[in-house]
This record gives sequence, structure tokens and C-alpha cells, in this order.
Amino acid sequence: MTTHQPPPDPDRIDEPLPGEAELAALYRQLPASEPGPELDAAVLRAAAEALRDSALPFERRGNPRQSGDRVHPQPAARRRRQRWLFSLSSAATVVLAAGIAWQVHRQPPAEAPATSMTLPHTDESAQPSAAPVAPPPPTVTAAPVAAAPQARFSRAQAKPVPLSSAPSPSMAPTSEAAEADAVLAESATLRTSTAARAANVATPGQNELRQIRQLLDQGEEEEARQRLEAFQRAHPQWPLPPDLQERLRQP
Amino acid sequence: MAATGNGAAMLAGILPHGLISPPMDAAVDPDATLMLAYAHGDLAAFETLYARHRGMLYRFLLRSVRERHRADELFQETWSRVIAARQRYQPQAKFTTWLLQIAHNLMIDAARRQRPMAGAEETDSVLGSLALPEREQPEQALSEFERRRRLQRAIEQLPDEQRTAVLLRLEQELSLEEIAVVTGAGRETVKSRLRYAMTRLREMLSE
Repeated sequence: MTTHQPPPDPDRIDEPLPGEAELAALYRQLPASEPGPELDAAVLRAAAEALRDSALPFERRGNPRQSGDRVHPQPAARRRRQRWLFSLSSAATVVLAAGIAWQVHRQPPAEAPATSMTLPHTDESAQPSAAPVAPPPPTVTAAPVAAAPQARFSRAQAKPVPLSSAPSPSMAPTSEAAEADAVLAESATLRTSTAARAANVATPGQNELRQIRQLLDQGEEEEARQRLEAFQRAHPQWPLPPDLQERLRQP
Repeated sequence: MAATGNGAAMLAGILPHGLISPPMDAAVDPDATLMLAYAHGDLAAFETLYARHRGMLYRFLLRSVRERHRADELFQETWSRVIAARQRYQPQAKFTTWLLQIAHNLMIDAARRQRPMAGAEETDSVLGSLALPEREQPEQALSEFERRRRLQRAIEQLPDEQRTAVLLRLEQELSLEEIAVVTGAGRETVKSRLRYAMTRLREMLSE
């Protein structure tokens, strides 16, 4: 290890003191004491540790990272916590989406014929094109109640188009269970609405007969007779109730 | 060297630990460049700086306090102060001057905490007891080894302020202004101390 001897300052205006040159020459012959290796190691270690410690305040955040930036690696516990929060939020999102899909699916159709309109579509989407041609869809008036089980079966096989993209693959088990529940609920709704539709179809004739009875009760026998005859001409297959037949036979 | 002027008028900045220094152009002081590089994270720069000044600093401390373990403590503490002040370091002073200033202040503080330095009377007493056998042999020609030993002993026996001034002058070849900066004394005071000290050293060598 060399000893640094600063060169004499050229601007130094000091005049040599008396006897200084002789003393300086003799002084330079004194044994050159130096620090021990342990002392050297301690100082250099302290210098290195200081640099390591001072690296912490250089962290930059909020700006795009650039080369030369010194960023602390995140502690392992912090990384684990962030992964856990991410997983929890993802699961919560999936559950929320499944709940919304289920609620939307449970809503009854706005119009009863919509059910019969979607059935062919779902059947087509559920069956390959090479499959045998399906029988014509049942009409509502022909077999309103008997069509419900078939509709339920068809809907259970094929997903509705609007909701097919809503559930994600990761939530398949939950989605299938929710859809099964939704199909059961909807089939019950269909049965109810179909029965109501059947009642509504018979209502015009019954209403007419009821109004005829009201006319008879009110003493408007002539008008009632005329409407009853018109009804019988319009619906010859409709059996008249016995009380109205008796009224019709009366003069 | 930009250390011109006199006393406090030439002081351009206050350095860490209350140290003051004359203005210094960093471009002419490679030590200041090394110190700035270390402050920016270059450990190799510090190792170079340390290698350049470790010997002279240690000798200055050892010949000032005359005890190796105390010199070791002061040496390590001086470099610790340098390391701690790296972020605030401004090359307004020659690095050597700044380094010796830190060491001198630590030495003064340590002397105040410990027993007082030997007074003039005690020094004369010790000097007399040690020099007596040699003075009894005036005819003995002093070898160079003996002359070095006498010089070392004479330096140790100087009063603190004179010894510090002589060491800074002979070891570091500092100017009067630089010694004044390191010790916090005026230039004329430093010059007076050097005159007395060198006269004393010459007397002891010629005895």
C-alpha cells in the first residue's frame, strides 16, 4: 500500500522555516507506520455496508422504469399477499357473474309465444346439422301442456344464445347447477302460463254465453235469442248448455 | 491550490460536522473526484481513496496521540465520518485538508474526554529523565538511527498544538493556510507554533 504524498503546492508562498529542510529530510526517514489489516478490513467493510444501506432511498415509483433505476425487490410476504388478494377478487367476480346470470335466467319470458319461438332455435343449435329433422314444433293451442316437458328437455340440452357467453369455463360446475335450477323454475312458469293461455282461448265463447245469460236475466230476451242463434251458427260444434237450449226453445 | 486569503474570509463552505474549508476546485483534486464517485455508489473509488491516504493519516494520528490503540480508534472513526458524510460532501476543500480536519477534531475531542495531555512541566521532566543518559555521553557520535529516534521522541514531547502543526507540516507538507484550516487557528499563530516547535526539535537533536 503506497503512501500518498501530496506534491508541494506551487502557489504556496510560505518561506521555509529555519532548519525545516533538515528536519523534513530526517522526518522522512522515520519508520512508516501503517494501519493493520484488521483495521483496513473494518474500514472497507463499513464503506461497502454504507453503500448497501444507501441503496434503499433510491427507489422510484410512479414513473416508467428506466435503466439505472434502483428499485427494491418486494418482500416475499408482500408478493404472497398480493397473489392472495388477486385470487380472492377473481373468485368474488366469478360468484357475482354467476349470480347475475342465474337471476337473468330465472326471469319469465316477456311473451308466452317466445318460448315456442326459441325452442326450434335451441334445438337446432343443440343438434348437429346431419341429425334427423326434428318434428314440427308443437303449436300452443294444440298441445299447450304436453309440450312443456319436451321444452324443458330441449332447453336443458342447449344453452340459450344470449347467456351462452356469460359464464366462463372456470365456473362450469356452478353454471350447470344454476342452469338446471333455472330450467326447473322456468318449466313451472311455462306450465302456468300455458294453462292461462288455454283458459284465455276458451274465454271468447264462454264470454259470449255469459253475456247472453246476462241479457236473459235483464229481460232482453229477443236480443239474447238473436245472439244465441248467431253463436250456434258460428259454432255448430259447440254444445249449448241445457239452460240456454231451454231458453232458445221458448217462444 | 485555491486556498488563498486569510482566516475565515477565505472560507467558502461549511462541511459536515461543522468543518469549514476554503473553496476548492474539484477538477484539480483527484481525491475529491474519487470521493464524489464513492458518494454515487462506486466502492472501488473509495478503496483507491483509502489506499492513498491510509498511511499518512495513520502516522499523523499515531505520532499525535502516541498510543497505537488510540490511534486505531481515531483512524477508524475518522473514516467512518468520511463514509457517513459522503452524501453531503462538496469538493470545496482539498480532500486531504478535509480528512485531516476530521481527524484533528476527533483527536481534540478524545483528549478532552480522557486525561489531559502532559503539561509543559511534565514534558520537561520526562524529557530530562530520558535525555540525561545521552547527555552524559556527548562524545558518542549519533548514528542516523539515533537521530531518527531522537526526532521521534522530540516530536512526541512537543506541546499538542506545536506537535500537530509540525506533523501537518513535515508529514503532509501543508501550507500555513492549510494548517490553519485544519487546526482552526490563525495563520500567524500557526507560523509561530511552527517556529517554536522546529527550534525545539533542532535543539534536542543537537544536544
